[in-house]
Amino acid sequence: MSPTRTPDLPQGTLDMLILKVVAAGPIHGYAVAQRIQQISRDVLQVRQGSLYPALHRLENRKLLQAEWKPSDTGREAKFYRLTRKGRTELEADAQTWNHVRDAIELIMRGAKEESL
Amino acid sequence: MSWLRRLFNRSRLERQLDSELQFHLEEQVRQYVSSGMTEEEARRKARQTFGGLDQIKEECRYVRGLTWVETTMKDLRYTLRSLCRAWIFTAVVVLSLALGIGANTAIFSIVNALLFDTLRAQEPSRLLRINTGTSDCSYLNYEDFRAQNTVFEGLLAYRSASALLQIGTETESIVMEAVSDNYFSVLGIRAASGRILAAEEYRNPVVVLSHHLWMTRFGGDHAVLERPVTLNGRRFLVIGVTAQDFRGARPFTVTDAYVPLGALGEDRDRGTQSFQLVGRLNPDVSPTQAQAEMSHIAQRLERDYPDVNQGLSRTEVYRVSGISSFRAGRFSGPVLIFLGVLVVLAVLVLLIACANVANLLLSRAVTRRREVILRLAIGASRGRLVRQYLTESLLLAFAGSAVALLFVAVIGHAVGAVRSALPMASALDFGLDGRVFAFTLLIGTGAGILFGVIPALRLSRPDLNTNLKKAPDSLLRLGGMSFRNTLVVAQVALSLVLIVCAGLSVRSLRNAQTLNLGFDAEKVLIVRVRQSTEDPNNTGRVNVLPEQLVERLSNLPEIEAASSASIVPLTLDSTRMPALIQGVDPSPMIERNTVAHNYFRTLGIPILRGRDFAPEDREGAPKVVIINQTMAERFWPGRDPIGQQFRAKPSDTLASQVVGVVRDSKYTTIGEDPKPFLYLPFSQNSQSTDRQPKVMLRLKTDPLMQIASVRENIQAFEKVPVSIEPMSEAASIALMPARFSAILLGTLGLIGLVLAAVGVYGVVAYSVTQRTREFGVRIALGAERSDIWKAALSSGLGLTFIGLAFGLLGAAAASRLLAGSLVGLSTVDPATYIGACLVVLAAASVANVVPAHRATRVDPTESLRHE
Repeated sequence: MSPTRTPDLPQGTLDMLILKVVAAGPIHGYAVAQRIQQISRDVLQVRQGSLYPALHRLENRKLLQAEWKPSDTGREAKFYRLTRKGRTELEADAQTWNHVRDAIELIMRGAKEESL
Repeated sequence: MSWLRRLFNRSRLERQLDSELQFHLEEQVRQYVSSGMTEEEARRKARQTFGGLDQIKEECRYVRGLTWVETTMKDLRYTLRSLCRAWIFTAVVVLSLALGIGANTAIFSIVNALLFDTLRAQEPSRLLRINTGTSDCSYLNYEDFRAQNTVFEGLLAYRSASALLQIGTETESIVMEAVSDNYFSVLGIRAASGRILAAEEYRNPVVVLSHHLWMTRFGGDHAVLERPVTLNGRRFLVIGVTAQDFRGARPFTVTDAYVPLGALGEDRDRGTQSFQLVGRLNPDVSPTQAQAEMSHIAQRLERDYPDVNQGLSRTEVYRVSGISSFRAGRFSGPVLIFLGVLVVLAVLVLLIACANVANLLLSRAVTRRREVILRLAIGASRGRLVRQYLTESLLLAFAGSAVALLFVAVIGHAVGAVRSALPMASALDFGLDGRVFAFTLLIGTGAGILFGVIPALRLSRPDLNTNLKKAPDSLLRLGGMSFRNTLVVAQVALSLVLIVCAGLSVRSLRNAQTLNLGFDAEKVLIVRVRQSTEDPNNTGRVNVLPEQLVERLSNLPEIEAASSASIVPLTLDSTRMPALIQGVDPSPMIERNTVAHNYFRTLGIPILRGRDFAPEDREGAPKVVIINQTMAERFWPGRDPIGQQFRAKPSDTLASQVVGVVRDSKYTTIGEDPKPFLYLPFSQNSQSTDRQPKVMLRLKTDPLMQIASVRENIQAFEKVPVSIEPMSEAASIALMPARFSAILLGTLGLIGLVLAAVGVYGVVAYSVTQRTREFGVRIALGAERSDIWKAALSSGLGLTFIGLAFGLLGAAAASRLLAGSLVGLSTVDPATYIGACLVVLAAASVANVVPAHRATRVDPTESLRHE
């Protein structure tokens, strides 16, 4: 479809992205997908096949809490909200992510210099 | 099932999942429409990008975690469907299991009945039986125990005996208990009708009937109350009927009537040891305290009356349940061993059945391999598959258990009908109670796991890649086949063990039937008579009428010899007396019988030395006894036993003199070893026997033909109730244990054999099917039918022989357990082993030949087209 490959999300990062998006306030599943796509400027596309199981998994782990209320269009939708446990998890994930990202960057930069 | 779903919130969660995903779709459509698509286009596009709706749902359910109930229900539904489709498979498996589990349930129900038999009285937990040392308790000892103890609220005594009940012109043998005055009050038994025995009626000739007797012989008629019945020739007034479920104090049997022992005049003696004691503990007293005090009293009694109370100090108390009797060592060794054998063999049958089922499951698994591969390929986890297969096994096991219970219930019913025809009704309740159900369920579940686990693990292991690439029939081929072969070898071996044990017990029964008993019962009739009216001085000579009859009948032309005895040999009845013999210490208790002149001639027991009892041996004359060979050899080795003397107790003024030695014979049971035995003459011991003498007649011709004429003759002499039976029949009760074991072991053996044959058939048939193409090719290339026969037969027969070899070893080990109960037979009796091998081989051959024959009929073109 698109000329550039849609990258696969690294293992475990989808959960973190969802938590991050939900942290901004109660939000339903469709909007979560939209937000991730928008913010990443269409680089990251979350497939529904991964999104909903992930949402349910997070809910099951009590990181998210769900609530049914009317959406903008007036239809009842399932809104997810971050729990206190979710917030802690998000912070921990973010920190780990930063470390890993720095580490990967270091390696990638080093590798580039060597190959030059 | 909706309550289950509601319970686990299933439908609400499902609905929410639906609407959440639906909402997503709608939003997507809305977005596409707003970006200019038509409604239809947008809907299609949205569907497309969304992907498999059901798959997403499934994954959401998965992360949510399926509830246990949901998965199980799913597995159950799936399993039921597939089992119904393969109904032949299901039927064979369920029947195999039903036989295997049923055998165990049946055996367990016997063990259960024995171990959980209890005295059906009020609060049996407070009741204790008192085992008074080496022998039963005498009445005066009982009175002392009762008066001197402080631990029992009440202490009762009873003696169980068979008695003749006369109703109209019919007589029948019943089981009676002679009971102490407080019997019913200690047990807390109420009357179902009329009244129970009151202490003040203790010396009156009254009788309380059991509910069972009342219903079966008197039709539950209240009119029988306050009316007399004739028991052992005496009239007793019926005063009441016991509560329905009461079966008497004697364990394992049903008592029909209760008579106060005061009315029988049995409450005066310290020497006659015939009573059993049961005590009800005071509320705050423990069995240990009771034991201490009873031991103390017993020691005192032994000290005070050393001549009659020898061994009394070993008095023990134990609870009334079967388990306690078992722990107190009140079960005889042979019974325990026999039960052990039964349990072991029943487990073997179950193992064979499990092997069969495992085999069938494997065969089925092979035919289902495509399904397995498919399910693994679309992402079913291995655990899920194993679980699925275990569900199937357990479901089959439950079905098998249910059918097994049905079998046992039906058989139990039949056994109950047979049992009620026995002279001594057994009170053992072989019914299906909660424990039997629990046991059946337990072994059913165990079996289900046992035969389900291996196929399940094996089945879920196939490597996806290789199996999708390769021809599917390679799956399970090698490993599976060798496992199946092991199963067949095990089955053949186990069934050989069963058949050998069955064969040994059947041959042992035949030996027992033809055993030299030491006497000749063939032409002998046993006549039991009772005086029809109450003898005014009944406590006196009980043998007047039998004596007269013997005299009268001996003159009949068809009668060769006539005599009488208080005990008919091999009717499981026995009595003992002490013998104080010089130089023999401690003085032994010797079994005895009281007999009349000509007893040995009538039974064909040779007198080896000395003489028979003679008319001169009357009261006042020197006391005489006749002993058997074993007694002579044991107590007077190397000496002439004739003329030797001994006393029954130190206080006896007159010693008894041995006047004759007779050949050993069997006295109480067929399996017994030779033992010392002595005979007393009626003419000098008319007071001391508590048993009515039985008249014994040796006839010149077939005794069965003479029963009627003998009866007429007796009736012509005196109108008394008479029961006449051939001695062989009277003694048949002694064959009961052997017959019982032959029937049980034979049945187990047969079940095992059938199951094993089915197992062999299944494996050979499977391997033939697998090799159809090979056989086709070989036939096409010109192989002879005989070659195909050989190829098809060889593997199955090879396995059978391996199985037989293992089985012989197993049988040699297992049959050692039977050693004690075999009559005239070694546990490695070659004929039995060879016969058993041939039987198993024959069964296995049939199971081999049928599928092998099919192999030779393979049509080459057909088989090559196949697959």
